[in-house]
Amino acid sequence: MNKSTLALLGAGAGVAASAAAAAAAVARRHARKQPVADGWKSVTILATPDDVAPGGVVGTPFDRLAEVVETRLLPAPGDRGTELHARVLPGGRAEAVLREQLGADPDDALRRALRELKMRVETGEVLQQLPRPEGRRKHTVAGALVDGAERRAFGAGAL
Amino acid sequence: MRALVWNGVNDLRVEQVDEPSILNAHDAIVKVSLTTSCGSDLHLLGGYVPAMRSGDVLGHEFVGEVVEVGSAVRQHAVGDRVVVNSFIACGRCWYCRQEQYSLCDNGNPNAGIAEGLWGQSPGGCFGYSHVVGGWAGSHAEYIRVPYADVGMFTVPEAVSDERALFASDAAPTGWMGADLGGVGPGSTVAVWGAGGVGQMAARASLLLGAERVVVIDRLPERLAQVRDVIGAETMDYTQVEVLPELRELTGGRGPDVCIEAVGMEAHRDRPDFGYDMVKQQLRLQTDRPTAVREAVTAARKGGSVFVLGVFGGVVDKFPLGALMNKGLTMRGAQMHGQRYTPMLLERMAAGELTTEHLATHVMPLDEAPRGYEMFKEKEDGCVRAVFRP
Repeated sequence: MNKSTLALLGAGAGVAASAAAAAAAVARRHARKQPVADGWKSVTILATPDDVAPGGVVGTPFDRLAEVVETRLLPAPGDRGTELHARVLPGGRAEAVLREQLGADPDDALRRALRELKMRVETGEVLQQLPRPEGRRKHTVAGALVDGAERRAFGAGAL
Repeated sequence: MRALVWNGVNDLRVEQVDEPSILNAHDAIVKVSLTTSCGSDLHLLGGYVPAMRSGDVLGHEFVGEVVEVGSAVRQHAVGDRVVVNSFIACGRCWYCRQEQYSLCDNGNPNAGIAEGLWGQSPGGCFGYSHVVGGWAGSHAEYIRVPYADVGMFTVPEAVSDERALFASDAAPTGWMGADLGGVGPGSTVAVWGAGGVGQMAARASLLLGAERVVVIDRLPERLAQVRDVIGAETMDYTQVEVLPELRELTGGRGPDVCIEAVGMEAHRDRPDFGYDMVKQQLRLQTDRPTAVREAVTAARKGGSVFVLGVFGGVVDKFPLGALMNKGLTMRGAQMHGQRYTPMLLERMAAGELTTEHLATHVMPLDEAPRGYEMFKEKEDGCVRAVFRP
């Protein structure tokens, strides 16, 4: 191995080490950040506050979650309707109850609930996907990934 | 029933599948009369769109007859001859109220997947992967249509199935590109791609008052259709240099509106095509934006670029400097068909908009795998392979 090759290898190792150090620093900074908006998640519903929460009670499925989920309503700007903000009440008990009741990660359960309520208020029903016409589903790794992603999709995402 | 099923990359088969049923009060079941292939389906065949699953039924552009309606359907009844938009929209959310139907908040129950890719989710789409809902497509004997009162339209008696078929997707998509791209009286318009959508964008531009419309492609049979049926000018990019030709055609200005109707698998006889192809095959970028780059470079100062072709992810070497320094407006969208289809059906009935020439190859559904092969390879001048279930 000549000197120039050694120099190149040294430079490559240096770049890799610098990149790794930078990535570690970024990861440390992210780890120190607060949870997103203290756990609040929200949807905007094209409806009045009375439609979203008749008699002051947010409708299904939030009526079932009232003990463990905190909600607040805000008017959306520009006549876009009503913002519904919700979060799992801070503290381990609420999360434990949600996991027990819904068998789901509390964040996923919250996303599902927000999406379901929005559909109910705006369209009057929750859109169903299954059963649907489909051919033979081959058992493959890629197929299992898609199946898993779809099972989680209603409770996943950036919401 | 029989349906065309995606079994993997470039592997389509006609299989027996269960018939759909009413699952929501706003649903209808439609017996499909005609259903067409679309250039965007080729991205599914090629494996370029994520979240396809073996067993998925393809097809999103179709006409048929209503055979069953849910209890909340008010605008339609059994026996109606209907054309159905490809995008599934609730008609009630804020986006639908703004007539941006493809952005519907409620039409895609798999919103979480789309949000992971794009930050927000569009509405649902028939037969177009689990990213947009995993909805079974129209290449089948029957199809379930959610929100039927919003996305389903009765076909006037004067309009044949063959003409109405393209009021489902190609015609409203093309019209949207011209309309939202800002085409108006006196506009000069360049359209990349002479497939069904590109031809419809060109025709829409003319009907909206454009003074000159030129369509760019390499396939002689499609360019002939543009001249003979659409009434626009053509440019064969294998014969001329597009950018200087467009400058000359527009007195040195560049087109006012550039409409890209090609999508993620663009072909071109330029070095950047080879670059894009290598990067796409190595999965270092998801799409080949060759036509988009050229449209951005070609557009006049202060002009607009509308992206109608389907793109899924990230691209490289995008001319952002041209976009910024020339003061361009750039837009894109899946189709807001519900906004345009009623008007398009009226124009079809009046003879202003003809589309049946696009259906160059009509065949039974059982021959659909072969039809897609012809369509993909552009065999025998195939512009669209259309199937009769």
